[in-house]
Amino acid sequence: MLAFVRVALVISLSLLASSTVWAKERHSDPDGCFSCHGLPDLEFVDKNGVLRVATILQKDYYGSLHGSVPCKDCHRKIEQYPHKPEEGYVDCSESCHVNEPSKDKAFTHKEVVEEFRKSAHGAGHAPGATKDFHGGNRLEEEKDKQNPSCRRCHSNTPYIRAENQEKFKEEFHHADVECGNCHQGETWRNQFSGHILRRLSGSHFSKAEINAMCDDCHADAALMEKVDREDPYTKEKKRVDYRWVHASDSYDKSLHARLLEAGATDGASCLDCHAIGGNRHKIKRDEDPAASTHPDNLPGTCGQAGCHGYAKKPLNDGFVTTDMHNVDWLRFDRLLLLLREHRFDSNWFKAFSLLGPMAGLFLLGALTWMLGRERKGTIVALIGADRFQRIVIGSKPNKAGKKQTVFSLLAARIKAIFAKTPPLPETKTEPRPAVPKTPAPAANAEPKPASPKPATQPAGDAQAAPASEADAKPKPPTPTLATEQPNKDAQAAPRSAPDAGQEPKSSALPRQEAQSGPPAKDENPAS
Amino acid sequence: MQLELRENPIVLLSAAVLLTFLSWPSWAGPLYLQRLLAAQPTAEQIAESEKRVREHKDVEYREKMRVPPFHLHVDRPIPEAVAFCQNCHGPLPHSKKLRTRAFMNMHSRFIACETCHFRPKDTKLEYLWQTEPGGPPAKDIAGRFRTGSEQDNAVSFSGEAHIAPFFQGQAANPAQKDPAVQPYLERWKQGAFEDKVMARAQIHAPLELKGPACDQCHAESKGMLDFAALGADEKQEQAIRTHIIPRFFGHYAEKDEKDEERIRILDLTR
Repeated sequence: MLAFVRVALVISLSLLASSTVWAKERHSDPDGCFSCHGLPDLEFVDKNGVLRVATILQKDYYGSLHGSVPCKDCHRKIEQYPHKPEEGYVDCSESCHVNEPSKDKAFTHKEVVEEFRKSAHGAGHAPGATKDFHGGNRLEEEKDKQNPSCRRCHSNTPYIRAENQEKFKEEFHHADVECGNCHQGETWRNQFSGHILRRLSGSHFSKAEINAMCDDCHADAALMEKVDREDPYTKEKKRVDYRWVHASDSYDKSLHARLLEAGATDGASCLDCHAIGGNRHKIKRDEDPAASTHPDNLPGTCGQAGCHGYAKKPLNDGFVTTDMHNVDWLRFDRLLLLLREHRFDSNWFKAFSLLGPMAGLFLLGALTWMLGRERKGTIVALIGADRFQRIVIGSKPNKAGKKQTVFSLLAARIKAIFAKTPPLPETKTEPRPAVPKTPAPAANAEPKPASPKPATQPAGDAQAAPASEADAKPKPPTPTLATEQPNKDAQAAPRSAPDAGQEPKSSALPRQEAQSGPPAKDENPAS
Repeated sequence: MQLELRENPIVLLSAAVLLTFLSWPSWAGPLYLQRLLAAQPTAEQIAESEKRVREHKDVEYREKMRVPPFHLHVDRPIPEAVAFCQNCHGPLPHSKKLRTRAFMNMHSRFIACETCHFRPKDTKLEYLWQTEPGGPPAKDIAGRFRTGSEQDNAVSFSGEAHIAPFFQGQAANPAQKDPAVQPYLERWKQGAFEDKVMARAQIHAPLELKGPACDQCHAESKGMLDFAALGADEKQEQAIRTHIIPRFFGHYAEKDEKDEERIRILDLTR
């Protein structure tokens, strides 16, 4: 009995002693790093204007995934103070002092690192000064590095999120969230904390949070435009195309994203398609046959469990041929970027390149027409008029007169719009004696008892007169009107000029012509 | 007899002089300002000032780095400037010396700039808590110290009160917006090069570039600060005096002005 008590006492004392050791292991800080980094408010502004913080929050660290790992297991090169930046680089493929429970070997991320290195994100990844795979310098990475380091996506967050910690304490009757304060057993630490709990907490990211992580880089079009992609076969580096740069934007327009945006969980996140089976470190380029988004693999990707299972049926291949990053879904303001490069990626641009010039031509025509709209019924032929005049009318075209007519009419019209005064293009047409030089105000002075237009019209009429060659079309003029509106008819005389070679149909016309001199038969103002 | 004293002009004059002498500090302004207004920078100081003005570059603060930190820290904006010196040097004024900048900025949360950098040799100053730069000594000094490894380092020093120098009961440090210093600030911000050089030389003439060594306060023997008078209990005072970091920094050679010397972290635990 006495022997039994002795044995029990020895065992108890051994357990007590070993528990003390475990406690130290958990919060050991063997290198004294928290002597400094445990102080609050260790901050400075570096030469780049960035606030750098050297304080590491102890509670978060000890409640985190790496809470069991001594600092120097990762920061192996730090031995002196002040530390050099490159000494702080971490090689995530190194092994650490925590055992992997299934193999009982030192834990390492080496396998994941190898996967990542071969992935679309890991190609050529070696930012910084060393050959090793490491976290990268945050400042260098910000500037021009293309491939993300581990910590672009990973941070040493606590197992229990800050917003859930109080709830955890209440629901699970815990006084603390620093696991190792109580769970000091090595078995618990290595098998539950380091293995099971990690996997439980690893799935707590919502689809929206996953997308936000991807968007942190991919939604920044300015950043993405700088990326060069290496061809997996030829190893040639090429600038990314517009479709790739705006992959996040086009995804946002898809039903997948809009479902998530609306709060439904049925939508697919980036990783649901690009990293099926949770292979987040194995994301490949679409062109890679191993990629889940390779055309040959899309039936399986779209038809994965919980998604479009019927997509695997040959008749439902619409699911696999639908472009989920269609740039034609983008807003037009984004598409203006197409003018810089990648322009033929978009059907919008193809259509625009065809329809745009045509629209421009129509706009120009409309503008020309608007400027000359007062010439009611007149056809101002820009081309072909000479031929028409020569063959059909039988008169010689007057080149000078033609030019003068077309462009002087436009110029006079523009001048009249801005000056609000009657244009007098006829004043330049000396060879055309049919043009009366009666000033417009004189028309107002004339009595017009029978004028069908209000008194304010004559000025407008005078303005419109040079352009209203449409009236050149023979009209049976009313003698009364001709005699009662001598000025108007006088203005209208040039319109009759083309008809000058014809029989005068108005009794008033010869009288006006007599006042202005003989008409020039060869002139054709309408031409 | 009493009546005679009142009517005696000599007595009245003497009383006026005595009153003036007694009330001198109250209208003369903070001691630093007095020294600033009377400053006659030496040629050496002006040359140093010119060099510094030539090398000066305004740093534009950036909110965050693109890559988030791996180890979490308190995500808060850069604190606001509250002291006169911070008008130019910013709220985190120590940025050049690799070895000490973060530690010094931490101290600036609870120690006024003038406590370390304004140490006139001809005068003995008193160090007290102060809740506002240039203001009177704080009455409530209890609970100002926080020491020990059990402290949650996610909680910042409040920055509400600072240990500041006092001269004859009046603050030796000026207020951030003291009208007497505004002309100097204007000259620095908008003046011509020569004016900037002179303004800078005058402002810094009463000051010392280098603050006191760690062991001036963190020492077993009594140093610059009377921690007990500042409200520290015995345990806190002991923790401050025997802190591990000042002892670690004691491993540096005394005159390492270039800030290039590195020491083994292993010495931290010795």
